[in-house]
Amino acid sequence: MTDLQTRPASNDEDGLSPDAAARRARGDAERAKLLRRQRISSVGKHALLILLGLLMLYPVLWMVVSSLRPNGYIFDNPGLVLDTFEASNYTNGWNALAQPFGTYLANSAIIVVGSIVGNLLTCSLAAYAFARLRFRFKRLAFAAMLVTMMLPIHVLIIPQYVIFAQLDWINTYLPLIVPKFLATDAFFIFLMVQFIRGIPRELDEAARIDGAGHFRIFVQIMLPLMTPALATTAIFTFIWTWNDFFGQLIFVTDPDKYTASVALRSFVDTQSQSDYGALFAMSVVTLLPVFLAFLFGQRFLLRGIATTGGK
Amino acid sequence: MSALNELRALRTPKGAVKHRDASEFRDNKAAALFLAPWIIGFLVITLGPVLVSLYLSFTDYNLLQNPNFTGLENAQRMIEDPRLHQSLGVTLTYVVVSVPLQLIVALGIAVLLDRGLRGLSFYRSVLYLPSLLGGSVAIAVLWRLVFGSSGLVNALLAVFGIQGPGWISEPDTALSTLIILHVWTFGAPMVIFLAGLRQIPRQYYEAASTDGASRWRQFRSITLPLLSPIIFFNLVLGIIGAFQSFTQAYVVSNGSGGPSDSTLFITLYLYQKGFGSFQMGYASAIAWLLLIIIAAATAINFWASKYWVFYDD
Amino acid sequence: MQRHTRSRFRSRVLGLAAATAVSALALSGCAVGGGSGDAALSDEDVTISFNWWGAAARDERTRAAIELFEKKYPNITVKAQSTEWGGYWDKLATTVAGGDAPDVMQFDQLYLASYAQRGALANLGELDEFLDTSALSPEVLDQGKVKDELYGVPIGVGTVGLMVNRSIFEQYGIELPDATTWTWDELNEVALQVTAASGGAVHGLSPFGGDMPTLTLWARQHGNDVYDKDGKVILKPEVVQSYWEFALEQIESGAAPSASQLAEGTGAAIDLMDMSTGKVAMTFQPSSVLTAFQAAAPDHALDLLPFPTSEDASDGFQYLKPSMYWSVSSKSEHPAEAALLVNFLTTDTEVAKLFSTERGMPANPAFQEAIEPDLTAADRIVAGVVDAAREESGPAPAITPVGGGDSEKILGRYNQDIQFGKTTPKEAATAFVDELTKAVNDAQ
Repeated sequence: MTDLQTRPASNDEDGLSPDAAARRARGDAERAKLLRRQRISSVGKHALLILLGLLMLYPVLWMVVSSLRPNGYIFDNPGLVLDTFEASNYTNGWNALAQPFGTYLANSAIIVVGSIVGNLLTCSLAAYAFARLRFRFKRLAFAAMLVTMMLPIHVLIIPQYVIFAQLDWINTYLPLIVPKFLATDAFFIFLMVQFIRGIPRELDEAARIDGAGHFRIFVQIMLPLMTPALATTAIFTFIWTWNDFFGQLIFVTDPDKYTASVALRSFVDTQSQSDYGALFAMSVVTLLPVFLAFLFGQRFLLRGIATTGGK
Repeated sequence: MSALNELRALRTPKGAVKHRDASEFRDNKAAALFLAPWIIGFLVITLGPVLVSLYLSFTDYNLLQNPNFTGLENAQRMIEDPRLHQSLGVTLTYVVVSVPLQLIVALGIAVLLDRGLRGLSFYRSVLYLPSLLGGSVAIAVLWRLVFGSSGLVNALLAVFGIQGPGWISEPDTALSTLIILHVWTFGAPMVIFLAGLRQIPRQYYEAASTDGASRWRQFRSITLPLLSPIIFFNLVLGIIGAFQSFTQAYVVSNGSGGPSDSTLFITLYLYQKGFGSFQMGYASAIAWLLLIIIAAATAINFWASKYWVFYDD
Repeated sequence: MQRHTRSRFRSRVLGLAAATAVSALALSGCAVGGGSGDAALSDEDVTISFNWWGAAARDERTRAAIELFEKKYPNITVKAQSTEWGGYWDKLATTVAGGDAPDVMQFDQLYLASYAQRGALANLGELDEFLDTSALSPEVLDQGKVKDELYGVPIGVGTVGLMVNRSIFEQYGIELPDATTWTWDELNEVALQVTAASGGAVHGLSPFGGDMPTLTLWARQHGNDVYDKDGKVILKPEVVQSYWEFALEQIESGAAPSASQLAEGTGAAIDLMDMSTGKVAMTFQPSSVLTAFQAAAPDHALDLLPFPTSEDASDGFQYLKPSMYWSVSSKSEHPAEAALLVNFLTTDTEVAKLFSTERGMPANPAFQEAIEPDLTAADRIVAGVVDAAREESGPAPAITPVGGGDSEKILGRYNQDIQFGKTTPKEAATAFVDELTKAVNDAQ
């Protein structure tokens, strides 16, 4: 609370850029009143958030607790209190499959990194064109881009498999990474288009008058202003690629190349004996990197352009 | 010329004369460069499979032998297929209920988490956690734990002397648990809202509160209009995504769409037909029906957007 | 002019991508079904791929067997792939459609005919130079045949029995009737006792109603069967009707849990089923899963009893059902080596010890002998039930024909509709037989 007082203005935890701080200092007086009101409501907010959090988190917490219970004693116990501490699920789960589980995490990481780079690079290029350029067939292209998102993967997977097999890409990560370098994730293009359209046009018009070409405007003006959208793209690409299952199942055949999400399914099989303790333990292990990525990534996510843009 | 206006122009009445001058296409070359990766990807990776699936939707294709062209037989079959109609009903209910609910929750929490509180980054991450779990194998178990006949919800109800049903296993309530599951994983739209909120200049709020505008008033006259492009994005993508919901129903019902077809999403049904019954031709036909429905919904969305979405440009 | 040519070029590029995919689909279809009669072992290094479904426990055993095989045949390398059940079939369908099937595959009888009759599997009879199936009994081996040709070598065998939680019976002081002769009436009676004695906390049994193995046994008890040798559906609606009515009575009498509770167990993993959590005392299960159930319920003593019968039941209704099969792809580039691997997996007694009963009681008697000394208590129970079924078994039923792969899903759906009161057993029975018949006829 004291911190709030030493940092006037409607502060957030992300710190301030110098010009924003200057701007805020100017409005100090008006804000004193506001501040008091905020302080009272913030207690209520905390309470609400904690309650909400617990409710939302019960299943997640239960999974963590269950990963520390012995097999056979997991499902008759809905509580969160741990009376036994069975770390063996972690050691067993880590070593239960053909490779140590770390191999699968590393494999997932390779695909994730490739996908993030690909999406950031090509989706932002495409989004700039759709949001700012005037060109022939724009409507058609934009509509086509949206339509490609509307077919379920299950009717596309076989023709895709055939194409990748012809390219001799089966059992490599290429079918999972190369498409990202070809801007096939329409979700992110559309997301960035919406964000670019929120950026005042005067900024690039001004640069244009100074003689900047589109590429320079894109690199020097748009990209910095798009940070939240880029961060969103990076984080979502991370999470969704990390959790994706179907493509990774179909295109990767060598078990040594399996990804974490595919490997996780090896712990349970409805037709035979499953190892739920190991499943939960390795689920927790798999969840950790994405959680950390999110925890740290959101700093960039919320670096508001309002603080640099100004209107 | 914005992307949205471009789409709007699609509906320009036929008779209307469109103004074309040199500057309308002045960026053709630059656009070709910026869009080059997308064009290659579209032609080489996306379009082929899409056209193949279109062709297959007019065939009888069992995956293992050559497809047989059967014309409109699949369409005929769709008209008479009661399970397809059931799956359409289930999917529509799911979309209509879960998308707005999820967006309202996501927006509410995003506003709550926007700024002004210590430790917000932690709350944000914690509230995002469920979305990380969304489609994992563990979710089947977790959902049973919450909504099963001896699950958490019923344990809470028992405190008040109410004996709850097995929410997942009753045909009347199974779909609602999937809707709750969808709302529970509100993380993605929440994050996008948060990023959008950061685009709104703080000065607007400062000015408004100096004028004595209430919080609610500020929300309605500043946040909502300025966030409308992002709300629009989340709505369009939310609807497209919800129509294609698959994983959660698959995992929770173990691929059956049960109990008694009450969670038979259209994607689940076409998956059963394609991979379970080796009727990939019929499955493709259903997929194209789905595409038409989603495209129509999206077109309506774009049309309606001109009444409520505000762009600065 | 220039614009014109350019757009034509564009449309050509568009067409090309689609054409590539279409023609590849067609090609892969054509190539399926080539003969493998002239297969021979190669002197050079050969790599074959080998797929199965199952969880981690199975992987470990199978990988150990592969190591033995590679040691014995140093020029053959085996590329192993394993997936869980659901993903396995999605992946197999995709790879086979893409013309990329693995050389050796684990198969289930639900899909054996679907793949075999459409030319995806090699006729193993033509590979008998490398594959010796003489140890298997004809009734078991016949269940690997489609239209009289062998497409799958049975790995293990089993039967459906009644799994019983002895701890619950002990707890409530209820005595089980003599299991070797017990009837449906006795089963009902004892199930009701459990529900009554526990005050409803535990129900007597999970009835059948949604799985083909119990329906097949029920039909055979009533002098009927699901399919004939030509793969035609011969199931009588009145038999299905009685099958469902019997289960419905048990739900209504309280011998079985509510429809909702039963639906919760449908398709659930073993660990989550009422049988594992001690909420029901008995359930119908394939003999092969006893070990898994016992592991999921460590505090309960589980037993397996023979399928109940009635006085007017047909003799020889019992049969041994292969738990799964080994098959070889018809497109394999190395059919001889693939057959050699199948031969090794089904005849080498070292493999027997590695696999033990994890894929069901071994179909090969020599295997059973080899593992006899190391059997666990649960294994011995299973062995007893399987032996009893073998002695009583009649002619093997025809395997699921093309288009019948869906039978269990259709059955399960109608079963739930009945239990939730959406339809009656009589209506559902007719609808089920019609739907199954249509599915099978359409696929031929």
